[in-house]
Amino acid sequence: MPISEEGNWQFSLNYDLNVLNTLKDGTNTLSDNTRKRTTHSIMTQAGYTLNDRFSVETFFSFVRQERKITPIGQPATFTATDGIGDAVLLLKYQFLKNFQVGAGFKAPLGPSDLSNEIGIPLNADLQPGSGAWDILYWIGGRQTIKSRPSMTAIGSAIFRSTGQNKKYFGNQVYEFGDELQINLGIADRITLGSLIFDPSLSFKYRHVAADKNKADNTSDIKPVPSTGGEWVFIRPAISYLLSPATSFQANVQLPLYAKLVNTQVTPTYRINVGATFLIKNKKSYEID
Amino acid sequence: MRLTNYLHSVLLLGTTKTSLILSLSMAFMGCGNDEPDPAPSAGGDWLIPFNEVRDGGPGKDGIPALTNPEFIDVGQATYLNDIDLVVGYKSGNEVRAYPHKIFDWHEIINDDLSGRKVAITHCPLTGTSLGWEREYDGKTTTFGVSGLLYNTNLMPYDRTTNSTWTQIGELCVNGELSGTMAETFQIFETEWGTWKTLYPETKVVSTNTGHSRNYGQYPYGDYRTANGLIFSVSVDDNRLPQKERVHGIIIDKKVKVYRFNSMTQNPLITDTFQGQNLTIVGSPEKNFIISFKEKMIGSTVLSFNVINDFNSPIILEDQLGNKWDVFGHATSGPNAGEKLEPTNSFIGMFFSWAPFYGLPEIYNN
Repeated sequence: MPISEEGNWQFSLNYDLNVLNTLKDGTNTLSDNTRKRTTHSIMTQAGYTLNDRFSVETFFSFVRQERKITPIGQPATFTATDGIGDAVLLLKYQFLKNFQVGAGFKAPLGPSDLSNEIGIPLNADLQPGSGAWDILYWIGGRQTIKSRPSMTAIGSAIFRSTGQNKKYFGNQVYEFGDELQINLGIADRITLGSLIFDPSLSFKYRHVAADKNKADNTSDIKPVPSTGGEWVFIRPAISYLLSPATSFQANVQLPLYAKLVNTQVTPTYRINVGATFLIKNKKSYEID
Repeated sequence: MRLTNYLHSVLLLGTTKTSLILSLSMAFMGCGNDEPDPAPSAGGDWLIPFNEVRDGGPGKDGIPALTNPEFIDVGQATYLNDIDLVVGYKSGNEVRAYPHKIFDWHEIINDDLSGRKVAITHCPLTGTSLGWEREYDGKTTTFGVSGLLYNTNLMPYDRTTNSTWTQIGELCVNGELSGTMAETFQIFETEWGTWKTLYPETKVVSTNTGHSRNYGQYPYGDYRTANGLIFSVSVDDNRLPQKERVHGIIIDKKVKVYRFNSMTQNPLITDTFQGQNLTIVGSPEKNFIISFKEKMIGSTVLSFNVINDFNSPIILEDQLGNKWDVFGHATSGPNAGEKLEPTNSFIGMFFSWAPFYGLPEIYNN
């Protein structure tokens, strides 16, 4: 969430649709769309500005994971789970004007042991939660473009050091790969009559290490084959400011580049829509 | 005011990547292509511990079995190296090879040879290849990959009744055919160089399978050689290297395994297991082991010698002057046309036997 003033609350409610229907081998796209993984998420985010230096953000979600296989010449099959997702708490510190660093954790609030309709346990990829505590490191900032005061350059990076789910399938250990995301973009403000829009365009680099797994006592936890990779996405977005305290957003994320470890199903597109609400403290209103 | 959505991405971890192979693993009653079946494989009773069945990840038919694939000649099979493992089979005059490089992406090949309908099943996680018949209860079926694993081993499903089977257990464990034993037949697993020497006229599965895959890539990393499983098994057996390929013979639900290095000095072993006299033939260099039950002709118990240094499909000669091929057919001699009865056996990674048959006996251990 953007930097705000002391005592202010910010809330957001978003719906996120992430569709993976592209099969890639390394950087090569394979002609096969028989496997489709879809994640629907309803996400709530709350932020509170403690003072002019510190703020805290929390994030909760409800997740539905879907897998549809449409094999050639065979009936399609469908598997789905849903439940509360993991939760995030992030403490942020403003070290320069418009620049912040943060650290936090992701708590395994969501279930990671769900089964299909007849009770067969599903793998980690289809679970709403991860079953692991992760540590998060974040840095972000924004800078107004001097030549165009309404335009802002935006950048952020987040690193997720993942923990282990030690109850995977009851007695196994599973760890999602550590993840780095770097976002760079620009945003502007456009006024159409009395309507105010904030369009933006950003690029996201994402690197994910291989997942790790331990299923027996003959080895330490080791990489899971055909997991991990790196991606570059483009994300056009637009916000509509209904009022100084309420805005609506929509963005779409499309892959520009992907380099996967071996063959994997990889993101095809992602859509996110939502609304943000700012509740100013009494003092802020007086200042305004 | 703009929202940064980095946290969205963090929360939805694992949703922007999914392994095709993860397991690398549900059978469904037939339904229309446009109406996905929400229910996994038949519910009801299972003949195996249900809580040890795992969803491997790709889902039912997420790993697509092949049916009547295209075959090519030896000279066209440039995607194969001599050391690549293949499953060989001969029916009538038709000789065919089914490479692991294809199985790694498809696991099951349904095929017709000389009118015989077979399914070659292969599990990359246990290294087991078996030949199965495709006629049960008078109906011809094809097998598909259920997407389920039991003791990290392939569970095929038959597309006629949607019943789920266990490969190493050779048994239908759920569904209409529950309790039916798989009807197996002898295949010959070896490396491509050996197979094409034995049968230069062989046909081999083409990479033109109708599916877009990188057949030159092994999708399981260092799994074949390194310790460590992707899915747990019910019984650990650490007496030998976990992934060592051994030839296991199953008699009365017990297994005895034969190591390749046991055959370095002696390519022919006569042995007894569960009261059954056996002949085991193999070569680490040629990368195969096969076995037969004791054979009597009249009152004579046949004894064998290895001939031709495994450079011909005729590999054995008995004391009566009969010569036998790798599939146990007497190709010449006074009893030409006779056949050695194969054991119920196949090659698999060492760890894979104990969860199904208890700790195996190890030959000459």
